[in-house]
Amino acid sequence: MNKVLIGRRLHKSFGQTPALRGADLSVEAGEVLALMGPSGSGKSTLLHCLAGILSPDSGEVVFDGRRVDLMPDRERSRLRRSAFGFVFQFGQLVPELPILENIALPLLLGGTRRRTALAAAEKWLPRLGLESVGARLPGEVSGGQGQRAAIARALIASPRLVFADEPTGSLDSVAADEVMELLVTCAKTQDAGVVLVTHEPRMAAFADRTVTVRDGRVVEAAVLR
Amino acid sequence: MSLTLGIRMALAGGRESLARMALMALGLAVGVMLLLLTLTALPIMQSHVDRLAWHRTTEASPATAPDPALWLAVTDRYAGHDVIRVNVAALGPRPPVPPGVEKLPGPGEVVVSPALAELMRSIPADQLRDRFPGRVIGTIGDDGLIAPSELVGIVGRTPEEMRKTYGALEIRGIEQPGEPLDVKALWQLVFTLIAVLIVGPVVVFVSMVTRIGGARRERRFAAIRLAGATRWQTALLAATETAMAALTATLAGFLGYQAIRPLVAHYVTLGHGMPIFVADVAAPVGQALAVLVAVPALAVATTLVALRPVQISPLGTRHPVPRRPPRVWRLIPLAAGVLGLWYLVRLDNNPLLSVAAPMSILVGLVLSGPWVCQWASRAMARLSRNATTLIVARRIAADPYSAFRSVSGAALAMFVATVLGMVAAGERVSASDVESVLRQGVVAVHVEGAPEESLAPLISDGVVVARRGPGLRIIVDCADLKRVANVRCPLPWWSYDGKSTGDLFVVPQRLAPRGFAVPDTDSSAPVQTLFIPTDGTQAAEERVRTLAANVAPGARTHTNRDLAAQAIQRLATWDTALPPAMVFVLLVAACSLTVSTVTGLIERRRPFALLRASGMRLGELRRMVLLETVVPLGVTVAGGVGVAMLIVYLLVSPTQWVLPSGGFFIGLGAGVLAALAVSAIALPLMDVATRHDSVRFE
Repeated sequence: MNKVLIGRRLHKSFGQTPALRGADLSVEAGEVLALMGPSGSGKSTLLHCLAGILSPDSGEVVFDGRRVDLMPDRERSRLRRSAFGFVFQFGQLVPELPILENIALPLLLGGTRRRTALAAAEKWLPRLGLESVGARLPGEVSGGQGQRAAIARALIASPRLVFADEPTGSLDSVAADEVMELLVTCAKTQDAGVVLVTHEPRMAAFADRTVTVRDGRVVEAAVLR
Repeated sequence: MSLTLGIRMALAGGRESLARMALMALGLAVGVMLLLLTLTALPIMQSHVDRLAWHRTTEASPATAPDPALWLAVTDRYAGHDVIRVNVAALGPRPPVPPGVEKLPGPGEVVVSPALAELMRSIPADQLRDRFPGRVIGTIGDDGLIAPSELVGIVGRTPEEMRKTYGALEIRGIEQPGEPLDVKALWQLVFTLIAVLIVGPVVVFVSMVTRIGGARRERRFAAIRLAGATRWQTALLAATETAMAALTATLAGFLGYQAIRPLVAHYVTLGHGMPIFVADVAAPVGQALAVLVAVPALAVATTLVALRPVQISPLGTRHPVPRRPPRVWRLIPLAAGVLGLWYLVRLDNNPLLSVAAPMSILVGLVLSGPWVCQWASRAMARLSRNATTLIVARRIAADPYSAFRSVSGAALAMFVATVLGMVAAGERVSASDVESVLRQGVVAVHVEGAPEESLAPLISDGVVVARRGPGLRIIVDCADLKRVANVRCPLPWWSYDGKSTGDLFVVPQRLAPRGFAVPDTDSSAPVQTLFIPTDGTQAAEERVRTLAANVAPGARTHTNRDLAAQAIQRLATWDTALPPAMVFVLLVAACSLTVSTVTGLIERRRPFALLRASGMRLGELRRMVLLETVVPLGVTVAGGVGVAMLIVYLLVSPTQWVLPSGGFFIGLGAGVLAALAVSAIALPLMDVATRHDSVRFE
């Protein structure tokens, strides 16, 4: 299989506290990979390093043959707009922008004309059941609707990979299942891979493969599909 | 895209965002206005020096006209105000002409200032008008006046009259403006402190305001970074909001500065007790433009620095790497500044040190504040007997930087106010010394060698004549002098009881008396001073002055009232400027405290709610929030006042080191309490902010 993202011997510390101690991980093209582990194991830090949000203290992150950890911020920002998408637990929607503009934000930041970007975002509303809330602010919609908007935003630029950090952590079980189903389905429709951090086995069951992170290292892996 | 998106986001940010922008704009507007006014200080003084230039005309003044003139300038007095009388006689068709006047008045002609013309019309001629013999042919324009209400007149004489008048000079030119300002070290310090007193609290207020909704703004920009915005795009979005407020504020501040200039001109009296020209209250164009550009730029820069964690990482969160506790090195700049000031005043007036020492003190106060807060809180923790004080002490000790930041404006204001108050108190002491040398009702007429025969109309029974003998000694009978002055016999030359007999003879330094001698039968020595008793009424004193002006045009006169008035004028500047300045800065400091308290309350709403849910009473929570402000405020204000007293002790002579009156300290204390009271406005919000719904996590 084609490895689209590789992390090798990743180390990362915050002050005196080590979060990653030589983690190794690779992501295949189009696969849904779940990172599991106890609280404080380093799974979110690993995801952030793989996504280029954080720079590891040592080790390398390679995406499509290019070293992400060595890229300047401008290049990594471009990756986040075009090649990567993000769905986090909360806080990734801009409170002052309506749902439609939040979805269109990556295109707007990339220089797409406003009309074109909003037209593209409009197409995502019915796909994710958001037809009635496009003009509302994030604070005026439910948690599930907000996460679905985040999914739309993550996928609007046709990314290669979507990074999701506890995307259902703040949702009830019904909404959580709905969101995971949409995330995985939409990603696979666009041949986008998903790297998912979760501590819930029920959410990890949506993945093709799971890895366990413990004490800053990847300690075991399991193929589900 | 980013600019329009930034504008939309700024305007759609809700009440919190609009409140922050409005407060920021208000604070910045006030800051711009005050900075511009501070920049007018040196131009005002330079204008004063320039306007005084023609009064410094002497025979050595460079030529400004083809023909010479005879010139005698005398500073007379009326009702405690200076009245300048310039006697002139042209020696050709094109003599030098002072500013504000089209031509030199001829014999029998007089040109007066508008204020003098009005005064002349309102009082009997023998008390003032007759000192300016001749027909009033015009008024002196603004260019020739020190201040709008200056009392000055130019009297035209014949050359023959002038040649017979002692002290008349032949001049070829009028002294021109352009003499550079010589600002002494003490006044530089005073200006610096006044600038800090006024501007410092505003800077603190603005920095507090930028924290409003800071956490939410950080989350907003983190979300945008996560969506792929570059640092530049994020910075542009963040800067747009601040820039909108800052540009509005700059315009409002400039308009406010223009509006307040007349008020400043009315209150600023440069020792002469008269309001100055509004046109002189003008910040240099280049410096003003620099302020108008720098303030918005600094505001934007401050915003960007505050958002630096977001700039670095789209997560926008800081992983808690604890900041090092403040160390003792923070006291070094303060100590160095105090030592530098001592060296400056006692040993060597170094121009560089005169700026560096005060700045080092001010920087040192800001640096040492967190260290003082830290140690005060550690002591408080050791001594605490209940949970409230213990939590407060631990919280301050954990982050003394934040604790000091919210009160730094008030602490600096107290420090500066104490310095100025103590300097003013010293001025009062020295001013009170010169009040009572001359007895009440006595007019001292310093004739300096005028022909004795011309003085006959002034000499009558009861008049004491002091003559000038060899070696610049004053020949006068002590018993006679005792009738008109508060002296003791025999006459010493040094000061006693804080009074100097030298103050009786106000003459140029080169003619300063060197001792006394007893009069003998030879009365041929020239007359130095006539002491003329009157019935003590102002009208009688002014009539004597008018007579002296006509009998001896070069004579100077003094009364007991004049000496007191001079002292009062010096104090007037302090008394009129200091109280409004203190009230203003305390209000601004109070607003900073309020903003800080409210912001802290919003940011810590959940922990407070959890404390309350765990059983802490609302009253205890309020006490905790209040103590978090009271403790740093009390400690830093006390420290600031103490340092201020030490500095003044080093600056002034021991006789002038006096504590201000009790009223000053009551005012200071009341100001601090008022600042606390205003900040306590936030406390009633605690009930609403810490209700059970604040502990919900879903």
